[in-house]
Amino acid sequence: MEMEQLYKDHSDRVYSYIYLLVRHKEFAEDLTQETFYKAYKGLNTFNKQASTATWLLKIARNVTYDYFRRKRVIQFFSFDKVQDLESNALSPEGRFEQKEQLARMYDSLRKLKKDYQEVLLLRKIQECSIKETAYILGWTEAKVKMKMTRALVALKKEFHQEGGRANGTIKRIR
Amino acid sequence: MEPSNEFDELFEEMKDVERSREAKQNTWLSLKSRIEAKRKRNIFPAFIALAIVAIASFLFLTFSNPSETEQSAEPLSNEEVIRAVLEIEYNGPDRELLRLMNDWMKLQSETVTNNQEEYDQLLESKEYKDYINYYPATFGEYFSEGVLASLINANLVFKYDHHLEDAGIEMHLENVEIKQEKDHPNIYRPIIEVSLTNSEGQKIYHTLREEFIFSTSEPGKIGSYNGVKDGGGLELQQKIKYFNTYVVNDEDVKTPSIDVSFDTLCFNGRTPDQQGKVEFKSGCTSDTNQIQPIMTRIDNLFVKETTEQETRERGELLPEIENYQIYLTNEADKGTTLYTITLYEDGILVFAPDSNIGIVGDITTKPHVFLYEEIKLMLDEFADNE
Repeated sequence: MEMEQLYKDHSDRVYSYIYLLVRHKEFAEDLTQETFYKAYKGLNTFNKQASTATWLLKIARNVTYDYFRRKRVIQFFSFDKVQDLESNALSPEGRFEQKEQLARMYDSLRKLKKDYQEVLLLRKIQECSIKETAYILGWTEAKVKMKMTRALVALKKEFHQEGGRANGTIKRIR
Repeated sequence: MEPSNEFDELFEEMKDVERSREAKQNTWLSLKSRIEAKRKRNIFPAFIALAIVAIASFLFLTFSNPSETEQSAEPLSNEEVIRAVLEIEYNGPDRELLRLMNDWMKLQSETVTNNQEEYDQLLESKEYKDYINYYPATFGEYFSEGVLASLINANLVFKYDHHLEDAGIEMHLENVEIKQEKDHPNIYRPIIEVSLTNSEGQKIYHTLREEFIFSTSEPGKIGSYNGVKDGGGLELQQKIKYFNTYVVNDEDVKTPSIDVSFDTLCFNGRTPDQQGKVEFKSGCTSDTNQIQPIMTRIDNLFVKETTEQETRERGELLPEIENYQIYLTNEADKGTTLYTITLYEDGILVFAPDSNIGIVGDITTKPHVFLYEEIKLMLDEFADNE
């Protein structure tokens, strides 16, 4: 079955992409299912302008983005779930510093502009090419390059900011 | 170290996302059953088609001559009838309708008819009867006698399905608010919110109004069904046809930046009645239980900077239509407005720092009519002059 093969070949990558956006296993599975259902419905209109994997990632991004809109979530990414770090493969001893670095990395990413976060996630974690990233985000390739450079500079600045910033300057009653 | 590779090791670690085989398999099984359910809906074996014709004919005859059973059944309320029609009209495209129509068109193009008698024979074909019976089978029970035929002739039912099919768009009815005219209880003008989604999952929304007039001679049946002038139906067709131009560029979208510290929320409301008499409401609250639900609803909306044209249009609308302005301030200094949020009756919200008349600032990327009604009720709860 064509759809089953598509799912076998690409669902892990789609899942990992969505998971990094939502940081919730059940939601990530649900949104992965929604992505492949939309892909099934749009399979006839897929014009091979991009690779299948890239096309699926673009759908996954839109599905996830729609989910955030429906849930009225402000932040596109949620890199601040410490429990996710606790449950991953890092051993408690010897790699404490690395673990701390990773936590800091998540925190720094979370504080970046949305488009910086997106371009870093696709280029550095999903290993998409500039062309693929441009297709998924609907940008030009020049814009991807420019945003990528600025994103890395911003990440470096955020990461090395001593002690970090207070969690926002907005004082709100709630 | 170069910024481009300084974080490579950490990025490498972030790639390691665990996923259990069981979860993966469960997702596949759920997906598979959804796909199979969709296939079953799309594939109509001959016997199902025959059954549909039989049921459609039965329904048609039944509605022409109501049986005793039907007469004794609980009739639908006017609101339920409106909702049922809108569910059909605004969830689409209806693949079965398109299939029946294509079959009928195909037969016409493949069969040469030299005179009226031969064409009349064609009208006796299964393809034509299946197609034409689909309308009364779908809508028949909701309209009074003769009304549906005129709506079909004027293309006022199933009016978006062909456009949706041509553009590869799916439409979904998101919300309906049914308003009954105060002075004319047979007239209803529902506000309808729909979403349009393309094959890549990109989605846009649209709000429009329609008009239903219920028959006085056949209670519970629609005697007239119209789009409202400037109600938004034509714009919906445009959005379907030129979907890509309406997809909001994520780059331009943000949420409001209400970066002020406040403990009090005040408002002024302007509500004109049908005679043009304007009622003003106002109030203040420092109760977080009243403030928080309002703020939660409005500060996650998607906004963009207003354009000159929007500013001009809003400037003209402000003294014309119903609107509420929310002022964020502090109990100790209510004279100083820190932030203003203006809510227009058409569901558009404008966000601006300081004291602002409500036409310049960040504007929502789509109307939120239901939200407007919801917040209005919340504000009215602590209005001084309520």
